[in-house]
Amino acid sequence: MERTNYWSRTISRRRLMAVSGTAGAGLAALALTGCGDDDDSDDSPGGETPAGGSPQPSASAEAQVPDSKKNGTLLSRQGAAFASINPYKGLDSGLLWGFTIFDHLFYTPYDTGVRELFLASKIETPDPLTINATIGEGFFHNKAPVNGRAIKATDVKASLESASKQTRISNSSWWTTILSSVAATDDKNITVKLKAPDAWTFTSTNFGSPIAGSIIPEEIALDPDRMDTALIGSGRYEFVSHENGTNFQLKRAENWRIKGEPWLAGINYKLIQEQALALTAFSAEEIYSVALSNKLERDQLVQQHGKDVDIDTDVSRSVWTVVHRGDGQWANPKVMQAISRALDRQEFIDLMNFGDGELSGPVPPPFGSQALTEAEITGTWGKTDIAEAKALLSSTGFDTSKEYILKFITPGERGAQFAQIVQQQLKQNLGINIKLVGEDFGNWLAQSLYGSGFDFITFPSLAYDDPSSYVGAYGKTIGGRPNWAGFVNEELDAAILEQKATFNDEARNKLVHDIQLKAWELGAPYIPVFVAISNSATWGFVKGRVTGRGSYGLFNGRVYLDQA
Amino acid sequence: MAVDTSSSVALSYEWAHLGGRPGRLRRLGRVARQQPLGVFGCLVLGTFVFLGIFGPYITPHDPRELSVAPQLGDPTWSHPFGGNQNGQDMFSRVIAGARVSLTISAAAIFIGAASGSFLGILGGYYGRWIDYVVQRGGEAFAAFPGLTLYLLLIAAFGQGVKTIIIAIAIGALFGGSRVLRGATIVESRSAYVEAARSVGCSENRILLRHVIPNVLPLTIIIMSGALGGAILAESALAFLGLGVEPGTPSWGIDISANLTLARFGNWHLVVFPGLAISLVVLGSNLLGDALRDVLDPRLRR
Amino acid sequence: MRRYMLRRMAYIPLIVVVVSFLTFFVLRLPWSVDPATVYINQNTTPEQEAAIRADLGIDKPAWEQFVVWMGDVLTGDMGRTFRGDQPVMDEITRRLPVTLEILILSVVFSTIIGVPLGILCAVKQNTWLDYACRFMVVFGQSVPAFFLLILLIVLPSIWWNYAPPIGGHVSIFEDPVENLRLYVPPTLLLSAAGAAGMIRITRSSMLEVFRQDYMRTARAKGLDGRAVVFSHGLRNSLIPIVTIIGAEITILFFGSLILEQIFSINGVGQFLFISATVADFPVVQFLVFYTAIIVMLLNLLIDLSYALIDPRVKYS
Repeated sequence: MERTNYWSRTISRRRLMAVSGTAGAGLAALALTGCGDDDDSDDSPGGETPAGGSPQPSASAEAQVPDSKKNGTLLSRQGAAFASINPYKGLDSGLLWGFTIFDHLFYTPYDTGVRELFLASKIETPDPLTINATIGEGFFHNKAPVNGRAIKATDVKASLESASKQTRISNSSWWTTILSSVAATDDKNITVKLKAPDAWTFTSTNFGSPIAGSIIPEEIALDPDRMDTALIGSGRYEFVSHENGTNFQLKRAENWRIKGEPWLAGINYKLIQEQALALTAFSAEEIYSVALSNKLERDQLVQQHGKDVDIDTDVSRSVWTVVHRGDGQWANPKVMQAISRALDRQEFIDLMNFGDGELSGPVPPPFGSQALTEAEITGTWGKTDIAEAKALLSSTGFDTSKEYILKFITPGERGAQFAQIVQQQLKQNLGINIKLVGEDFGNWLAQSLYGSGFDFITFPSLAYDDPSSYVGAYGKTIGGRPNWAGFVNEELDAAILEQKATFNDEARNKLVHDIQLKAWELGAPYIPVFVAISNSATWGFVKGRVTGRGSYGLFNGRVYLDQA
Repeated sequence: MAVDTSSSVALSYEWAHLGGRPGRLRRLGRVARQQPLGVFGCLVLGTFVFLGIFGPYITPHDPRELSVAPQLGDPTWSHPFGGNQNGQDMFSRVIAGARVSLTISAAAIFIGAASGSFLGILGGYYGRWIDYVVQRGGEAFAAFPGLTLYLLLIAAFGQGVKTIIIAIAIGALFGGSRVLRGATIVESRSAYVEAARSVGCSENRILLRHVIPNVLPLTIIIMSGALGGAILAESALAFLGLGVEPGTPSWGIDISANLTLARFGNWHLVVFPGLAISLVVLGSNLLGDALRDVLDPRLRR
Repeated sequence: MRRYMLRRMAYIPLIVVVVSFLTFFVLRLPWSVDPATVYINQNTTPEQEAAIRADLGIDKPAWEQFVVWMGDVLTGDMGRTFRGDQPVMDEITRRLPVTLEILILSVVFSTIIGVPLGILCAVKQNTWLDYACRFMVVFGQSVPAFFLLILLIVLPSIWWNYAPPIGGHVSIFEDPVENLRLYVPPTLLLSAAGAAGMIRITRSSMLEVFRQDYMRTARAKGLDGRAVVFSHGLRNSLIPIVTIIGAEITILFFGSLILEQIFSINGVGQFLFISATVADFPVVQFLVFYTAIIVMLLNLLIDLSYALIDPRVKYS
């Protein structure tokens, strides 16, 4: 596409008129890297995406797609420069390439929780500690030294072993504490041994991680530094070029596992950091989709472009959370309940998202059966009752004369906004004086969260793909470390361990659901406040998208551009 | 080196005599008439200093209080600068921002200029190894231009007000020491010091009673001259997200926090804090220039 | 002259070593940021943490690290970044063209705006032109550069629905028109403060020169006014102008960072900024090492240019 900007804006407008009336559905949710903190979850292992297209979009759409429309180049935003293109050296590159350049054995979408086979043609679990997988036919990209050869079981073994050794990408303890060994029994079969049973093994947080589960040629997996300069995978797209970790160009992999796909000829990424500039670029068709920070941006785009753009709206899985200490005077369950009752959630939603948000329990609403029902939420964390809050707090003898420290993550506008609202509401409604301390992420994580150096902390949770991650904080230990808030409750701890070892899906889901109600009763100091409704805009000519399936939709090979 | 590049530095000490003579009010009045811009700058800076000190008592609303103004409301009579996304009153925030900005920059300048002057006087008066150490130290620090120093300190000590104050202070430190060193040397060779020495005054006494009182006013000029730059540096660093924590009513932070919203017609969210910075820097620059003009006849015209 | 230069040159390595030493240990004081915290997450085991520290090379005592680092530097190896594990040298040189262009354009703009206006003001002292320029000077030195750049994003979009150029570097050799379209508007604004300083210095030094006896003599000889201004006046006021250009370059490093940040340009400034906020020590050490050398050389050059401009300047 020719470059358009303010000098050629009128031309761009005219062309825009030409494509009007071609409004379609769906989104190539490759805006993955496109937003800073506006979807509240930039560190999410599942790549919280505003909306996702299914790898198999609705049958009606694909039937009549003529081949002539299957050669477009998707223009996408990149929100920040990558420190390295090596997927083992940065979460950003690991995620982006995981969804494009690299293939995986399988993937488990969060909405169904049912494992879907990708490269693997068969996965069996003869016992809770053994996984046998058979790989189907797939080929690496045609670049030296691999030169397009077929994928062998030893590639998978080398990839998984290499990933488990990487200190910077293993975003779950599954890779270090659960995974025991990987063996290639022949060219097509591998056996994975586990150290302990884990019912959540196949989720995308764990074995199904889009980053650590990426299949890399054995030659490269044994020497991962080679990915600093060259990326060779077996995914839908082949890496072409980059400029200092920005402005990536990907092209279609000619020998992709699914014949005839992907329909796009390539994807080009453009570095745009400022949201204001991203919106301008979107209007000028320099990028085809953009994540929107709020309703105002959405309304403005709708007003400007009308039906030419599709707006996708999704309830986020990133829960804005307030955590306070769980020991000493805080251990009384009434303290947590009082603080929760004193938070006016509607004000949070109004101020932070212009009314675009929902109440949430610990597990956010998109999870369905595992999440609390609306009635349950309004009975517990969802209720604001200042009089009751005051009564609860005064009955515990909580010391309100002291100034307490609330630590939040900087930089980022929304984190600061959330912390300010908590501070103001608790001061007005309960008379708790709070001093805000912004900390950069590294310090916040190490000293405050893990080091338990806080009275209060606030953060948006990650958009996990497995619901147990949300309730994991109730355990006596979290990922091998003592409970962050110093909260210890044997009953909740036992319940956490129980669901982890329950392999029946329905029973496990019910356990996750019930733990949350128990947490309210027992005063677990992790207070869910709300989830945002995230919006994204996509030009109508980007078709072949099916929304609402999270990061799973990023494995879509059937996006196409229906441009004049 | 044969050329004195720091022409603004060699000063006469008229300032020192300003206060001591009869009729100083009249004299001040004459100076004010000669320097109308300086008087204007003094007024502007004075207003902001007043706001910095008394701001919290005169703002119509608590600058942190939520939902007191219409969310993203345009300027009206009741909320002259409109409201931000938190429904906070921008007028109150801009007023409260004066305290943050001036406290940090004034503290940094004071620490920097005071310790720089101290070092400069010591070096200039005692010479020898003290002077050598001060001078070489100044040269070593000249190798850290502003940005390098900020980045080094941020990498070493993390972000925060203390880091910013130290960074700006170090920048002012060696500039101050150089000026004071030169002035001290001139002063310590002057006739009256010789006279004092000849009647048997001790070196320390000469330094304390004669030299320091005569060169100290220079420190004030250095401070006023550096204040504008310090405010600019502070606001730019706040804009980049360093310095004070987000949420604090600070001009730089308000500008960066509202950048995206500003594009959607909410210009008031960035324009008023930006104007506040510009005005206070303007005030201190004008005042600094006027002070220097008055005290340095070579530049007076 | 030659001896003076040699002495100055010999001085540079000494200062650079001292400065590097200071930097190295300031970064490793007991209360400094621990860079490993950036790479540790909730599931990092103590063994992994130790591995990360070893990987970053921060597991040994500070003096030992310094010896290793200095040894590497002397062999031309500036180390690898903590954040992306890439050679520091490559990361910087790849981004250098953009930042250099911003610096050069800004210096050029501020000079071609500042010097002629300054001369004009001095010649037409106390006319409306002089007052207008002096107002511009005060204005240019008071408005923060980042505020001007933001106004470029905000106001034109409201008034004329005009969007400023957005990131992405187009090499000036590939597409000069596009390149200049991207860089001219922001660098013009960025150069405002520099131009203001330039007007001010040029004006005051010209005025000073005008009052010198030789100027009166030149006029008395019957030389044309314009010739006097340019041949005698300008030549004699070049020293302060050169000085301020030197000072401006170091200030513009910061300006370039802000410009890159606002307009999403992936240049050196932005890279350094991000590196500093995540305590990427090798990058910061590199930065200090090189700026020390550059600043020293720049100062030396400026001193030398004095001698070229003004034959009366002698170094001994």
